[in-house]
Amino acid sequence: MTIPDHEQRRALEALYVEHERGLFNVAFRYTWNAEDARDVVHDAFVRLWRKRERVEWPRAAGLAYRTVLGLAANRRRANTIRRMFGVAAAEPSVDGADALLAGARIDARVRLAIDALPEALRSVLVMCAFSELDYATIGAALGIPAGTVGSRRNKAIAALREVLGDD
Amino acid sequence: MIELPVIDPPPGGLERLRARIAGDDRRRAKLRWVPVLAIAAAIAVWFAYARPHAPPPVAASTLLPDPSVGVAFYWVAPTTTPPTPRSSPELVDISAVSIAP
Repeated sequence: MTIPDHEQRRALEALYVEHERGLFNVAFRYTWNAEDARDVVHDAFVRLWRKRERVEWPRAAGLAYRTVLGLAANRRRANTIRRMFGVAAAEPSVDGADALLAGARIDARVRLAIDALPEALRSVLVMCAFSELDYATIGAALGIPAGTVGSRRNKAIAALREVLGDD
Repeated sequence: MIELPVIDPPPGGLERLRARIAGDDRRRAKLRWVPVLAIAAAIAVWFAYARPHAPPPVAASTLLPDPSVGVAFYWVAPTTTPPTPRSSPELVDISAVSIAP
């Protein structure tokens, strides 16, 4: 049965409102730029809208996070290449991000430590920290078992602690 | 303690998303015609150039008498073009002409 467009639109917007903050924070930990992070989240929702006939909206949160993770990783790589060839602004500074997002102080060392994590650990860490989804849903979104989500999260935190110390 | 503060996204996200989706819908509605036009253009080009043409009719060969040989001898014209008017040749040495048996 085909769901009318206006109902699909309502479901998509409800999903966006419910998960905007989590998705934005996940994307932000890849791009470290608020505009880029928001663009990535919007790109993901435009893609969801294009394939709306195949989306099960009540269970679409995992799909939204997976799409955001993929697009954010792509944006991060593209930005790195642009900076390499000097066609993009320099790496966004943590101070700049702080000024943009008043009150959110991100320790530069934390940021560098997250950047240094392997992709498999970084995606699990940011999903566990910001998505408010359970391990099973995160695992389904990332294509790994729920138990692996927990072990990767622990590994990621251990790696951060090793870099940052106990402070 | 490792601090991963939650950041508030910039305001107006939902309105901007609505505008993005509306713009994307408009763009895709226009692009929907591209494959149709491309197929129509390909068919038009095929009709104009690539369609196999019927071979031109070939007329039966005509027999052209050649009085220069001196006997009942005919050249077979390879094409349908009318024979060019020939002037009567002057035989200088008739013994130079031989006819295969």
